[in-house]
Amino acid sequence: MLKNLQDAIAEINEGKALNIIQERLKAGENPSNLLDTVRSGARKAIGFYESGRYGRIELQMIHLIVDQCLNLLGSRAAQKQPSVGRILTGTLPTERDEMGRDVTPMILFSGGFDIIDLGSQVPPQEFAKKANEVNPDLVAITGVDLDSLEDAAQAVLGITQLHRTPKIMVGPLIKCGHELKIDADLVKTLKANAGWNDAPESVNVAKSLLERKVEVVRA
Amino acid sequence: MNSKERMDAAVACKVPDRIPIALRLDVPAAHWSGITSEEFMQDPWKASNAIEWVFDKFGGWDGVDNTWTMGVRYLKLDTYNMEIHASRGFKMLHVPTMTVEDYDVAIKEGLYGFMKTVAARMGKRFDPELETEMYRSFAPIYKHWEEKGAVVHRGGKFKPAMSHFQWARTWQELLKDLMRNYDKVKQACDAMFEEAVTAAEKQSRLVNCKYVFVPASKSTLGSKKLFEDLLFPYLKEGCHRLVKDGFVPRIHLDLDWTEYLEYLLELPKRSCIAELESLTDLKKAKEVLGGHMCISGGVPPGLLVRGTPDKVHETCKKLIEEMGPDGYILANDDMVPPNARMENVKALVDAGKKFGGAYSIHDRPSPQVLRA
Repeated sequence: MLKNLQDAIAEINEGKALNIIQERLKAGENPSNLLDTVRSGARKAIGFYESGRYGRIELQMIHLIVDQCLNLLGSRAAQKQPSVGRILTGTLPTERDEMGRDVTPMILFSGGFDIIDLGSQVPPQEFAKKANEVNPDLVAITGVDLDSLEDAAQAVLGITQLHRTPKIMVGPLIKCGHELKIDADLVKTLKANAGWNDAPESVNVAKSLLERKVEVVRA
Repeated sequence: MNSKERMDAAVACKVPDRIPIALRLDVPAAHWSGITSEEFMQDPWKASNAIEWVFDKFGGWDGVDNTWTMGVRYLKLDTYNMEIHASRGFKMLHVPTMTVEDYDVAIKEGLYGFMKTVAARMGKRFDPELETEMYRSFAPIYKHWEEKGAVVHRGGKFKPAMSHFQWARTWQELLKDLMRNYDKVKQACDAMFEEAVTAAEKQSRLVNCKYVFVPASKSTLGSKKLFEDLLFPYLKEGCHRLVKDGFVPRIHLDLDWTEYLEYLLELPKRSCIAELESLTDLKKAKEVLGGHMCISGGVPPGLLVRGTPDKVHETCKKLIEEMGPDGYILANDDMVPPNARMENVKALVDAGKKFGGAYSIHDRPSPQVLRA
Protein backbone atom coordinates (compact mmCIF):
# COMPACT_ATOMS: atom_id res chain seq x y z
CA MET A 1 0.00 0.00 0.00
CA LEU A 2 2.79 2.46 0.86
CA LYS A 3 4.53 1.59 -2.39
CA ASN A 4 1.27 2.58 -4.11
CA LEU A 5 1.42 5.92 -2.33
CA GLN A 6 4.97 6.47 -3.46
CA ASP A 7 4.00 5.65 -7.05
CA ALA A 8 0.85 7.77 -6.97
CA ILE A 9 2.92 10.80 -5.98
CA ALA A 10 5.67 10.10 -8.47
CA GLU A 11 3.14 9.47 -11.26
CA ILE A 12 1.23 12.68 -10.46
CA ASN A 13 -1.93 10.88 -9.45
CA GLU A 14 -3.27 13.42 -6.99
CA GLY A 15 -6.59 11.76 -6.17
CA LYS A 16 -5.04 8.36 -5.56
CA ALA A 17 -2.27 9.73 -3.35
CA LEU A 18 -4.69 11.64 -1.12
CA ASN A 19 -7.09 8.69 -0.90
CA ILE A 20 -4.34 6.35 0.22
CA ILE A 21 -3.25 8.73 2.95
CA GLN A 22 -6.78 9.21 4.21
CA GLU A 23 -7.41 5.45 4.22
CA ARG A 24 -4.14 4.62 5.94
CA LEU A 25 -4.65 7.26 8.61
CA LYS A 26 -8.14 5.87 9.23
CA ALA A 27 -6.63 2.38 9.49
CA GLY A 28 -4.22 3.60 12.16
CA GLU A 29 -1.02 3.87 10.13
CA ASN A 30 1.81 5.74 11.81
CA PRO A 31 1.86 9.22 10.17
CA SER A 32 5.66 9.18 10.29
CA ASN A 33 5.72 6.18 7.97
CA LEU A 34 3.40 7.96 5.60
CA LEU A 35 5.60 11.06 5.73
CA ASP A 36 8.59 8.92 4.80
CA THR A 37 6.66 7.52 1.86
CA VAL A 38 5.58 10.98 0.68
CA ARG A 39 9.24 11.97 0.82
CA SER A 40 10.31 8.95 -1.19
CA GLY A 41 7.53 9.61 -3.74
CA ALA A 42 8.84 13.14 -4.20
CA ARG A 43 12.38 11.79 -4.49
CA LYS A 44 11.28 9.34 -7.16
CA ALA A 45 9.64 12.17 -9.11
CA ILE A 46 12.81 14.22 -8.91
CA GLY A 47 14.62 11.20 -10.32
CA PHE A 48 12.21 11.36 -13.26
CA TYR A 49 13.10 15.04 -13.65
CA GLU A 50 16.80 14.28 -13.61
CA SER A 51 16.38 11.53 -16.20
CA GLY A 52 14.48 13.93 -18.49
CA ARG A 53 11.07 12.28 -18.16
CA TYR A 54 9.65 15.21 -16.22
CA GLY A 55 10.13 18.95 -16.54
CA ARG A 56 9.59 21.75 -14.07
CA ILE A 57 5.85 21.76 -14.71
CA GLU A 58 5.59 18.19 -13.49
CA LEU A 59 7.71 19.08 -10.45
CA GLN A 60 5.31 21.88 -9.64
CA MET A 61 2.43 19.42 -9.83
CA ILE A 62 4.29 17.08 -7.48
CA HIS A 63 4.77 20.04 -5.15
CA LEU A 64 1.01 20.65 -5.12
CA ILE A 65 0.38 17.00 -4.27
CA VAL A 66 3.07 16.84 -1.59
CA ASP A 67 1.68 19.98 0.04
CA GLN A 68 -1.76 18.43 0.25
CA CYS A 69 -0.32 15.18 1.61
CA LEU A 70 1.56 17.08 4.32
CA ASN A 71 -1.60 18.99 5.19
CA LEU A 72 -3.42 15.71 5.68
CA LEU A 73 -0.63 14.36 7.83
CA GLY A 74 -0.39 17.59 9.79
CA SER A 75 1.74 17.88 12.88
CA ARG A 76 1.25 14.19 13.69
CA ALA A 77 4.06 13.33 11.33
CA ALA A 78 6.38 16.11 12.35
CA GLN A 79 8.03 14.39 15.25
CA LYS A 80 10.61 11.66 15.32
CA GLN A 81 11.69 12.15 11.76
CA PRO A 82 15.41 11.77 11.19
CA SER A 83 16.42 15.00 9.53
CA VAL A 84 19.49 15.88 7.53
CA GLY A 85 19.11 19.43 8.78
CA ARG A 86 16.59 22.16 9.36
CA ILE A 87 16.08 24.62 6.55
CA LEU A 88 14.17 27.86 6.58
CA THR A 89 13.11 28.84 3.09
CA GLY A 90 11.03 31.49 1.38
CA THR A 91 10.71 33.44 -1.83
CA LEU A 92 11.51 37.14 -1.95
CA PRO A 93 8.85 39.64 -3.02
CA THR A 94 8.64 39.97 -6.75
CA GLU A 95 6.53 41.86 -9.20
CA ARG A 96 6.82 38.88 -11.52
CA ASP A 97 5.22 36.21 -9.37
CA GLU A 98 3.92 34.43 -12.42
CA MET A 99 5.13 30.88 -12.06
CA GLY A 100 3.22 29.76 -9.01
CA ARG A 101 5.07 28.47 -6.00
CA ASP A 102 8.74 27.72 -6.11
CA VAL A 103 9.43 24.00 -5.93
CA THR A 104 12.54 24.39 -3.77
CA PRO A 105 10.79 23.53 -0.46
CA MET A 106 9.50 20.27 -1.94
CA ILE A 107 12.91 19.44 -3.39
CA LEU A 108 14.66 20.06 -0.08
CA PHE A 109 11.98 18.07 1.73
CA SER A 110 12.60 15.15 -0.60
CA GLY A 111 16.31 15.40 0.26
CA GLY A 112 15.51 14.59 3.89
CA PHE A 113 15.54 18.09 5.30
CA ASP A 114 13.14 19.46 7.84
CA ILE A 115 11.51 22.43 6.09
CA ILE A 116 10.05 25.62 7.48
CA ASP A 117 8.51 27.29 4.46
CA LEU A 118 7.72 30.99 4.64
CA GLY A 119 6.03 30.81 1.23
CA SER A 120 6.17 33.50 -1.43
CA GLN A 121 6.38 37.32 -1.31
CA VAL A 122 8.46 37.17 1.90
CA PRO A 123 9.77 40.59 2.97
CA PRO A 124 13.57 40.47 3.40
CA GLN A 125 13.52 41.15 7.14
CA GLU A 126 11.23 38.15 7.73
CA PHE A 127 14.06 35.71 7.05
CA ALA A 128 16.14 36.94 10.00
CA LYS A 129 13.11 37.28 12.24
CA LYS A 130 11.99 33.71 11.63
CA ALA A 131 15.54 32.35 11.70
CA ASN A 132 15.97 33.87 15.14
CA GLU A 133 12.83 32.08 16.23
CA VAL A 134 13.34 28.61 14.73
CA ASN A 135 17.13 28.41 14.69
CA PRO A 136 17.65 26.68 11.32
CA ASP A 137 20.90 25.15 10.12
CA LEU A 138 20.46 26.81 6.77
CA VAL A 139 18.38 29.52 5.14
CA ALA A 140 17.49 29.02 1.47
CA ILE A 141 16.41 32.31 -0.09
CA THR A 142 14.68 31.89 -3.44
CA GLY A 143 13.31 34.41 -5.92
CA VAL A 144 16.57 36.22 -6.55
CA ASP A 145 16.11 38.33 -9.66
CA LEU A 146 17.33 41.60 -11.12
CA ASP A 147 14.39 43.28 -9.38
CA SER A 148 15.06 41.68 -6.02
CA LEU A 149 18.83 41.95 -5.64
CA GLU A 150 18.56 44.62 -2.97
CA ASP A 151 16.02 42.59 -1.05
CA ALA A 152 18.25 39.52 -1.30
CA ALA A 153 21.24 41.47 0.04
CA GLN A 154 19.09 42.87 2.84
CA ALA A 155 17.78 39.41 3.76
CA VAL A 156 21.32 37.99 3.88
CA LEU A 157 22.57 40.93 5.92
CA GLY A 158 19.79 40.49 8.46
CA ILE A 159 20.59 36.82 8.90
CA THR A 160 24.32 37.38 9.26
CA GLN A 161 23.64 39.80 12.11
CA LEU A 162 21.95 37.11 14.19
CA HIS A 163 23.69 35.81 17.27
CA ARG A 164 23.86 32.33 15.74
CA THR A 165 24.26 32.62 12.00
CA PRO A 166 22.99 29.77 9.85
CA LYS A 167 24.47 29.07 6.44
CA ILE A 168 22.74 30.94 3.62
CA MET A 169 22.13 29.88 0.05
CA VAL A 170 20.33 31.69 -2.74
CA GLY A 171 18.36 30.56 -5.79
CA PRO A 172 16.80 32.33 -8.78
CA LEU A 173 13.30 33.54 -9.41
CA ILE A 174 11.62 31.21 -11.84
CA LYS A 175 9.70 33.32 -14.31
CA CYS A 176 8.68 33.27 -17.92
CA GLY A 177 11.26 35.77 -19.07
CA HIS A 178 14.98 35.57 -18.62
CA GLU A 179 16.03 34.07 -15.32
CA LEU A 180 18.95 35.57 -13.51
CA LYS A 181 21.84 33.15 -13.40
CA ILE A 182 23.23 32.67 -9.93
CA ASP A 183 26.98 32.63 -10.37
CA ALA A 184 29.92 32.84 -7.97
CA ASP A 185 30.17 36.62 -8.38
CA LEU A 186 26.55 37.12 -7.46
CA VAL A 187 26.82 34.81 -4.44
CA LYS A 188 29.82 36.81 -3.30
CA THR A 189 28.08 40.14 -3.92
CA LEU A 190 25.12 39.04 -1.85
CA LYS A 191 27.47 37.70 0.85
CA ALA A 192 25.71 34.33 0.83
CA ASN A 193 27.56 31.04 1.21
CA ALA A 194 26.31 29.30 -1.90
CA GLY A 195 23.80 29.35 -4.69
CA TRP A 196 21.96 27.12 -7.11
CA ASN A 197 20.26 27.54 -10.46
CA ASP A 198 18.18 24.43 -11.07
CA ALA A 199 16.06 23.64 -7.99
CA PRO A 200 17.02 19.93 -7.75
CA GLU A 201 20.64 21.05 -7.30
CA SER A 202 19.62 22.74 -4.06
CA VAL A 203 19.71 19.45 -2.13
CA ASN A 204 23.37 18.78 -2.86
CA VAL A 205 24.28 22.41 -2.35
CA ALA A 206 22.55 22.36 1.05
CA LYS A 207 24.19 19.09 2.05
CA SER A 208 27.60 20.38 1.01
CA LEU A 209 27.09 23.54 3.01
CA LEU A 210 26.07 21.68 6.10
CA GLU A 211 29.19 19.61 5.77
CA ARG A 212 30.95 22.98 6.11
CA LYS A 213 31.95 23.23 2.49
CA VAL A 214 31.37 26.83 1.58
CA GLU A 215 31.19 28.80 -1.65
CA VAL A 216 29.37 26.05 -3.47
CA VAL A 217 27.89 27.35 -6.68
CA ARG A 218 26.39 25.17 -9.32
CA ALA A 219 26.42 27.62 -12.16
CA MET B 1 20.72 47.99 -47.62
CA ASN B 2 18.04 49.74 -45.61
CA SER B 3 16.58 48.30 -42.41
CA LYS B 4 13.78 46.53 -44.25
CA GLU B 5 16.14 44.83 -46.69
CA ARG B 6 18.49 43.94 -43.85
CA MET B 7 15.71 42.35 -41.78
CA ASP B 8 14.33 40.53 -44.83
CA ALA B 9 17.78 39.14 -45.62
CA ALA B 10 18.22 37.93 -42.05
CA VAL B 11 14.80 36.23 -42.03
CA ALA B 12 15.65 34.52 -45.31
CA CYS B 13 18.95 33.34 -43.74
CA LYS B 14 20.91 35.38 -46.25
CA VAL B 15 23.90 37.60 -45.52
CA PRO B 16 22.90 41.27 -45.12
CA ASP B 17 25.29 44.22 -45.44
CA ARG B 18 25.25 44.38 -41.68
CA ILE B 19 23.62 42.23 -39.04
CA PRO B 20 20.32 43.91 -38.16
CA ILE B 21 19.78 45.22 -34.65
CA ALA B 22 16.47 44.95 -32.80
CA LEU B 23 15.37 46.12 -29.38
CA ARG B 24 12.33 45.17 -27.35
CA LEU B 25 12.08 48.27 -25.28
CA ASP B 26 9.16 49.55 -23.22
CA VAL B 27 9.10 51.51 -19.95
CA PRO B 28 12.84 52.26 -19.82
CA ALA B 29 12.16 54.45 -22.86
CA ALA B 30 9.52 56.28 -20.82
CA HIS B 31 11.90 56.83 -17.92
CA TRP B 32 14.79 57.95 -20.12
CA SER B 33 12.70 60.33 -22.19
CA GLY B 34 10.97 61.87 -19.19
CA ILE B 35 7.42 60.54 -19.28
CA THR B 36 5.76 58.36 -16.67
CA SER B 37 4.98 54.65 -16.98
CA GLU B 38 1.30 55.58 -16.78
CA GLU B 39 1.61 57.85 -19.80
CA PHE B 40 3.53 55.17 -21.66
CA MET B 41 0.89 52.56 -20.93
CA GLN B 42 -2.16 54.67 -21.62
CA ASP B 43 -1.18 56.71 -24.65
CA PRO B 44 0.25 54.84 -27.66
CA TRP B 45 1.50 58.01 -29.37
CA LYS B 46 3.31 59.19 -26.24
CA ALA B 47 4.82 55.71 -25.86
CA SER B 48 5.91 55.70 -29.48
CA ASN B 49 7.43 59.18 -29.05
CA ALA B 50 9.36 57.92 -26.02
CA ILE B 51 10.80 55.05 -28.05
CA GLU B 52 11.54 57.44 -30.88
CA TRP B 53 13.42 59.72 -28.47
CA VAL B 54 15.69 56.77 -27.62
CA PHE B 55 15.86 55.72 -31.27
CA ASP B 56 17.14 59.16 -32.29
CA LYS B 57 19.50 59.40 -29.33
CA PHE B 58 21.05 56.05 -30.30
CA GLY B 59 21.26 56.97 -33.98
CA GLY B 60 18.57 54.42 -34.82
CA TRP B 61 18.43 50.67 -35.16
CA ASP B 62 16.58 48.29 -37.47
CA GLY B 63 13.83 46.32 -35.71
CA VAL B 64 11.48 48.25 -33.41
CA ASP B 65 8.96 46.42 -31.25
CA ASN B 66 5.43 47.83 -31.06
CA THR B 67 5.50 48.20 -27.28
CA TRP B 68 3.56 51.47 -27.65
CA THR B 69 0.46 49.31 -28.09
CA MET B 70 1.16 47.27 -24.99
CA GLY B 71 -0.67 49.26 -22.34
CA VAL B 72 -3.84 49.82 -24.31
CA ARG B 73 -3.95 46.18 -25.40
CA TYR B 74 -3.45 44.95 -21.85
CA LEU B 75 -5.95 47.30 -20.32
CA LYS B 76 -8.69 47.07 -22.92
CA LEU B 77 -8.37 43.75 -24.72
CA ASP B 78 -6.61 41.19 -22.59
CA THR B 79 -8.32 38.94 -20.13
CA TYR B 80 -6.00 38.88 -17.18
CA ASN B 81 -5.74 41.00 -14.09
CA MET B 82 -3.06 43.60 -14.30
CA GLU B 83 -2.49 47.11 -13.12
CA ILE B 84 -0.22 49.93 -14.16
CA HIS B 85 2.98 49.92 -12.18
CA ALA B 86 5.33 52.87 -11.74
CA SER B 87 8.64 51.13 -12.43
CA ARG B 88 7.67 48.14 -14.56
CA GLY B 89 4.87 49.67 -16.57
CA PHE B 90 2.46 46.94 -15.56
CA LYS B 91 2.08 44.34 -12.90
CA MET B 92 0.20 41.09 -13.21
CA LEU B 93 -2.02 40.52 -10.20
CA HIS B 94 -2.14 36.73 -10.50
CA VAL B 95 -5.76 36.61 -9.53
CA PRO B 96 -7.69 34.28 -11.82
CA THR B 97 -10.11 35.95 -14.18
CA MET B 98 -10.99 32.61 -15.72
CA THR B 99 -12.81 29.78 -13.99
CA VAL B 100 -12.50 26.09 -14.62
CA GLU B 101 -15.89 26.23 -16.35
CA ASP B 102 -14.48 28.58 -18.97
CA TYR B 103 -12.78 25.66 -20.69
CA ASP B 104 -16.29 24.55 -21.64
CA VAL B 105 -17.05 28.04 -22.96
CA ALA B 106 -13.91 27.85 -25.10
CA ILE B 107 -14.84 24.38 -26.36
CA LYS B 108 -18.33 25.55 -27.37
CA GLU B 109 -17.66 29.11 -28.48
CA GLY B 110 -14.00 29.32 -29.48
CA LEU B 111 -11.52 32.11 -28.74
CA TYR B 112 -13.85 35.08 -29.06
CA GLY B 113 -16.59 33.45 -26.99
CA PHE B 114 -14.00 32.67 -24.34
CA MET B 115 -12.63 36.21 -24.34
CA LYS B 116 -16.09 37.73 -24.22
CA THR B 117 -17.01 35.63 -21.18
CA VAL B 118 -13.82 36.33 -19.27
CA ALA B 119 -13.82 40.02 -20.17
CA ALA B 120 -17.43 40.36 -18.98
CA ARG B 121 -16.44 38.88 -15.65
CA MET B 122 -13.80 41.59 -15.40
CA GLY B 123 -16.34 44.29 -16.19
CA LYS B 124 -14.95 44.80 -19.68
CA ARG B 125 -16.56 44.57 -23.06
CA PHE B 126 -14.86 42.46 -25.67
CA ASP B 127 -15.85 41.87 -29.22
CA PRO B 128 -13.94 41.52 -32.47
CA GLU B 129 -15.05 45.00 -33.52
CA LEU B 130 -13.34 46.55 -30.53
CA GLU B 131 -10.18 44.72 -31.48
CA THR B 132 -10.48 45.98 -35.05
CA GLU B 133 -10.99 49.58 -33.93
CA MET B 134 -8.00 49.40 -31.64
CA TYR B 135 -5.60 47.99 -34.23
CA ARG B 136 -6.87 50.47 -36.80
CA SER B 137 -5.97 53.26 -34.36
CA PHE B 138 -2.40 51.88 -34.15
CA ALA B 139 -1.90 51.97 -37.92
CA PRO B 140 -0.75 55.63 -38.20
CA ILE B 141 2.03 54.95 -35.70
CA TYR B 142 3.24 52.02 -37.81
CA LYS B 143 3.16 54.30 -40.82
CA HIS B 144 5.20 56.89 -38.95
CA TRP B 145 7.92 54.35 -38.14
CA GLU B 146 7.92 53.08 -41.68
CA GLU B 147 8.49 56.62 -42.94
CA LYS B 148 11.31 56.92 -40.46
CA GLY B 149 12.95 53.92 -42.10
CA ALA B 150 12.64 51.47 -39.22
CA VAL B 151 10.96 48.07 -39.36
CA VAL B 152 8.27 47.42 -36.78
CA HIS B 153 8.76 43.69 -36.42
CA ARG B 154 5.54 42.97 -34.64
CA GLY B 155 2.01 43.49 -35.88
CA GLY B 156 -0.56 41.07 -34.53
CA LYS B 157 -0.13 38.34 -31.98
CA PHE B 158 -0.86 34.67 -32.49
CA LYS B 159 -1.58 33.66 -28.96
CA PRO B 160 -2.10 29.94 -28.52
CA ALA B 161 -4.76 28.95 -25.98
CA MET B 162 -2.24 27.92 -23.34
CA SER B 163 -0.86 31.42 -23.43
CA HIS B 164 -4.34 32.78 -22.57
CA PHE B 165 -4.87 30.20 -19.85
CA GLN B 166 -1.58 30.71 -18.05
CA TRP B 167 -2.43 34.36 -17.42
CA ALA B 168 -6.22 34.37 -17.15
CA ARG B 169 -6.36 31.23 -15.06
CA THR B 170 -2.97 31.89 -13.35
CA TRP B 171 -0.14 29.42 -13.54
CA GLN B 172 -0.92 27.77 -10.22
CA GLU B 173 -4.54 27.06 -11.16
CA LEU B 174 -3.54 25.94 -14.65
CA LEU B 175 -1.25 23.34 -13.10
CA LYS B 176 -4.20 21.98 -11.14
CA ASP B 177 -6.33 21.95 -14.30
CA LEU B 178 -3.64 20.02 -16.14
CA MET B 179 -3.60 17.45 -13.33
CA ARG B 180 -7.36 17.19 -12.96
CA ASN B 181 -8.90 18.15 -16.32
CA TYR B 182 -6.21 17.55 -18.89
CA ASP B 183 -8.54 16.41 -21.67
CA LYS B 184 -10.71 19.46 -21.25
CA VAL B 185 -7.73 21.80 -21.44
CA LYS B 186 -6.62 20.06 -24.62
CA GLN B 187 -10.10 20.29 -26.17
CA ALA B 188 -10.19 24.01 -25.37
CA CYS B 189 -6.79 24.44 -27.04
CA ASP B 190 -8.17 22.75 -30.16
CA ALA B 191 -11.32 24.85 -30.12
CA MET B 192 -9.50 28.20 -29.82
CA PHE B 193 -6.81 27.53 -32.41
CA GLU B 194 -8.53 28.62 -35.61
CA GLU B 195 -9.67 32.00 -34.36
CA ALA B 196 -6.27 32.60 -32.75
CA VAL B 197 -4.63 32.37 -36.17
CA THR B 198 -7.22 34.48 -37.97
CA ALA B 199 -7.18 37.11 -35.20
CA ALA B 200 -3.39 37.45 -35.49
CA GLU B 201 -3.58 37.80 -39.25
CA LYS B 202 -6.37 40.35 -38.99
CA GLN B 203 -4.39 42.41 -36.47
CA SER B 204 -1.28 42.41 -38.65
CA ARG B 205 -3.26 43.37 -41.74
CA LEU B 206 -4.91 46.27 -39.90
CA VAL B 207 -1.52 47.80 -39.12
CA ASN B 208 -0.01 46.77 -42.44
CA CYS B 209 2.77 44.74 -40.87
CA LYS B 210 3.85 41.30 -42.05
CA TYR B 211 5.33 40.24 -38.72
CA VAL B 212 3.25 38.29 -36.22
CA PHE B 213 4.41 37.86 -32.65
CA VAL B 214 4.07 34.27 -31.44
CA PRO B 215 4.62 33.86 -27.70
CA ALA B 216 5.77 30.37 -26.81
CA SER B 217 6.58 31.29 -23.23
CA LYS B 218 7.12 28.51 -20.74
CA SER B 219 6.75 25.88 -23.47
CA THR B 220 9.92 24.07 -22.49
CA LEU B 221 9.19 24.05 -18.78
CA GLY B 222 7.38 20.75 -18.84
CA SER B 223 8.27 17.33 -20.13
CA LYS B 224 8.71 16.63 -23.81
CA LYS B 225 5.52 14.58 -23.64
CA LEU B 226 3.58 17.65 -22.55
CA PHE B 227 5.36 19.80 -25.14
CA GLU B 228 4.55 17.38 -27.95
CA ASP B 229 0.93 17.01 -26.95
CA LEU B 230 -0.23 20.37 -25.74
CA LEU B 231 2.16 23.03 -27.00
CA PHE B 232 4.14 22.24 -30.12
CA PRO B 233 1.27 21.10 -32.40
CA TYR B 234 -0.36 24.54 -32.16
CA LEU B 235 2.92 26.38 -32.55
CA LYS B 236 3.81 24.33 -35.62
CA GLU B 237 0.45 24.49 -37.32
CA GLY B 238 0.04 28.17 -36.47
CA CYS B 239 3.43 29.11 -37.95
CA HIS B 240 2.80 27.10 -41.11
CA ARG B 241 -0.54 28.84 -41.55
CA LEU B 242 0.92 32.30 -40.98
CA VAL B 243 3.77 31.73 -43.44
CA LYS B 244 1.41 30.30 -46.03
CA ASP B 245 -0.69 33.46 -45.71
CA GLY B 246 2.34 35.72 -46.22
CA PHE B 247 3.30 36.57 -42.64
CA VAL B 248 6.57 36.27 -40.76
CA PRO B 249 6.16 34.61 -37.35
CA ARG B 250 8.45 36.12 -34.76
CA ILE B 251 8.46 33.33 -32.22
CA HIS B 252 9.30 34.34 -28.69
CA LEU B 253 11.14 31.36 -27.24
CA ASP B 254 12.06 32.35 -23.73
CA LEU B 255 13.89 30.21 -21.19
CA ASP B 256 16.07 27.31 -22.32
CA TRP B 257 15.30 25.70 -25.70
CA THR B 258 18.60 23.84 -26.09
CA GLU B 259 16.98 20.39 -25.89
CA TYR B 260 14.05 21.47 -28.07
CA LEU B 261 15.89 23.08 -30.99
CA GLU B 262 15.35 20.14 -33.34
CA TYR B 263 11.59 20.68 -33.14
CA LEU B 264 12.03 24.10 -34.73
CA LEU B 265 13.26 22.42 -37.89
CA GLU B 266 9.64 21.38 -38.41
CA LEU B 267 8.64 25.04 -38.76
CA PRO B 268 8.69 26.74 -42.18
CA LYS B 269 12.14 27.19 -43.65
CA ARG B 270 13.71 30.67 -43.89
CA SER B 271 10.44 32.35 -43.01
CA CYS B 272 10.39 32.78 -39.23
CA ILE B 273 12.41 34.45 -36.50
CA ALA B 274 13.37 32.34 -33.49
CA GLU B 275 13.65 34.88 -30.70
CA LEU B 276 15.88 33.00 -28.30
CA GLU B 277 17.54 34.01 -25.06
CA SER B 278 21.06 33.42 -23.85
CA LEU B 279 19.71 30.72 -21.52
CA THR B 280 19.62 28.58 -24.66
CA ASP B 281 22.98 27.37 -25.92
CA LEU B 282 23.07 29.80 -28.84
CA LYS B 283 26.08 28.19 -30.48
CA LYS B 284 24.15 24.94 -30.61
CA ALA B 285 21.09 26.85 -31.84
CA LYS B 286 23.15 28.15 -34.76
CA GLU B 287 24.45 24.65 -35.53
CA VAL B 288 20.93 23.22 -35.54
CA LEU B 289 18.94 26.07 -37.05
CA GLY B 290 21.52 27.80 -39.25
CA GLY B 291 20.25 28.09 -42.81
CA HIS B 292 16.76 27.10 -41.66
CA MET B 293 15.65 29.85 -39.32
CA CYS B 294 16.80 33.32 -38.39
CA ILE B 295 17.84 33.62 -34.74
CA SER B 296 17.37 36.80 -32.75
CA GLY B 297 18.57 37.69 -29.24
CA GLY B 298 21.49 36.80 -27.03
CA VAL B 299 22.24 39.94 -25.00
CA PRO B 300 21.23 39.08 -21.42
CA PRO B 301 19.17 41.54 -19.38
CA GLY B 302 21.58 41.20 -16.45
CA LEU B 303 24.34 42.60 -18.63
CA LEU B 304 22.22 45.63 -19.47
CA VAL B 305 21.63 46.26 -15.76
CA ARG B 306 24.89 45.27 -14.08
CA GLY B 307 27.35 45.39 -16.96
CA THR B 308 29.36 48.16 -18.56
CA PRO B 309 29.39 49.40 -22.15
CA ASP B 310 32.73 47.63 -22.67
CA LYS B 311 31.27 44.33 -21.51
CA VAL B 312 28.24 44.82 -23.74
CA HIS B 313 30.56 45.48 -26.70
CA GLU B 314 32.53 42.33 -25.93
CA THR B 315 29.37 40.20 -25.68
CA CYS B 316 27.90 41.62 -28.91
CA LYS B 317 31.13 41.11 -30.83
CA LYS B 318 31.26 37.48 -29.74
CA LEU B 319 27.59 36.96 -30.61
CA ILE B 320 28.07 38.45 -34.06
CA GLU B 321 31.09 36.24 -34.70
CA GLU B 322 29.32 33.10 -33.55
CA MET B 323 25.82 33.74 -34.87
CA GLY B 324 26.41 35.72 -38.06
CA PRO B 325 26.74 36.69 -40.74
CA ASP B 326 23.58 35.07 -42.11
CA GLY B 327 20.25 34.60 -40.34
CA TYR B 328 20.97 36.54 -37.18
CA ILE B 329 19.46 39.63 -35.55
CA LEU B 330 21.43 41.14 -32.70
CA ALA B 331 18.90 41.83 -29.95
CA ASN B 332 18.34 41.94 -26.24
CA ASP B 333 16.83 38.89 -24.56
CA ASP B 334 13.16 39.26 -23.66
CA MET B 335 12.53 42.90 -22.63
CA VAL B 336 15.07 45.60 -21.80
CA PRO B 337 14.76 45.52 -17.96
CA PRO B 338 13.22 48.57 -16.27
CA ASN B 339 16.47 49.22 -14.40
CA ALA B 340 18.77 48.79 -17.44
CA ARG B 341 21.44 51.46 -17.87
CA MET B 342 20.87 53.54 -20.98
CA GLU B 343 24.59 53.56 -21.86
CA ASN B 344 24.56 49.75 -21.87
CA VAL B 345 21.59 49.57 -24.22
CA LYS B 346 23.21 52.17 -26.45
CA ALA B 347 26.37 50.04 -26.40
CA LEU B 348 24.35 47.14 -27.83
CA VAL B 349 23.22 49.29 -30.74
CA ASP B 350 26.69 50.77 -31.25
CA ALA B 351 28.34 47.35 -31.14
CA GLY B 352 25.89 46.02 -33.73
CA LYS B 353 26.83 48.84 -36.08
CA LYS B 354 30.54 48.55 -35.36
CA PHE B 355 30.97 44.78 -35.58
CA GLY B 356 27.86 43.64 -37.46
CA GLY B 357 29.16 44.74 -40.83
CA ALA B 358 32.77 43.91 -40.22
CA TYR B 359 32.73 41.24 -42.88
CA SER B 360 32.44 41.83 -46.59
CA ILE B 361 29.15 40.91 -48.24
CA HIS B 362 31.29 38.84 -50.57
CA ASP B 363 32.52 36.75 -47.64
CA ARG B 364 31.65 33.13 -47.76
CA PRO B 365 28.34 32.49 -45.99
CA SER B 366 28.34 30.17 -43.04
CA PRO B 367 28.49 26.41 -43.70
CA GLN B 368 24.80 26.11 -42.86
CA VAL B 369 23.89 28.38 -45.77
CA LEU B 370 26.13 26.49 -48.18
CA ARG B 371 24.66 23.22 -47.00
CA ALA B 372 21.06 24.39 -47.30
